[in-house]
Amino acid sequence: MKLTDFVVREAVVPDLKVENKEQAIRGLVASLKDAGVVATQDEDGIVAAIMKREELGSTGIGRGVAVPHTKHPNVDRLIATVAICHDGVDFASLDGDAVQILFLLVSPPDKPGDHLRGLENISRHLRSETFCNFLRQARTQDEVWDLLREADDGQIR
Amino acid sequence: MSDVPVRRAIVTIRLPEGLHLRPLTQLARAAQSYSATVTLQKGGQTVDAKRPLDLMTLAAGCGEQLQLEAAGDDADAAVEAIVRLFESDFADGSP
Repeated sequence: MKLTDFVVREAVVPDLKVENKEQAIRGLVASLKDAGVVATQDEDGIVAAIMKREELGSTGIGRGVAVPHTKHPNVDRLIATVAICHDGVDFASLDGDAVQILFLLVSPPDKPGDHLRGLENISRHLRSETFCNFLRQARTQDEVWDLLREADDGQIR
Repeated sequence: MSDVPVRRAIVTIRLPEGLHLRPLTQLARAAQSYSATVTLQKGGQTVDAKRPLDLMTLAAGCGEQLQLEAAGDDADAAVEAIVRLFESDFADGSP
């Protein structure tokens, strides 16, 4: 599984401008809806489910990264989007740092393995300081996408 | 010869959805509360159990076994606490 297999290119948000976690999650789910991979009628339910998950413990895993996620029966495969929040947003992260890189995942309830592999893939790349630094500097959808593709191809370590 | 105490255990993931983010965050928090270094190994891959990003790279599914190792003065307590987390299926509710 590669990043570009499940990240939806048209849903990438290269310059997320938000003031809090809920706005960030709303913005990312809206981008999935606008890209046509989440139905309009499912948008609010997905946002609510992700916020509920955040109440169980922040998905801000430290180093300026968050991976908010939920399951939803109306998606038939793992889908994700990436947002870069240049100003940073408070996510109540493990290390207390503001979040600049967000990967939001929605997966089918009956495929927990895909969800784990998606997280594995994202985390493997995000461990690279170089990849994170390049992502933080990206300003356009194409720049983010090119970085994901280069990471998939092993060009960024 | 090093005299740093080292303790090891085998833990099994019984969570139906595998070691997903919430339990692995609990695990990292638990490991962080000890001064001992704590690692988990799956196959040939060894990761720092104090770092969620590292734990995520294991993609450890239900039924898989991991080798837990702690090295340091409080290695005993660290292994005991983490084994308990796995045995309770991460039921302590935090974070």
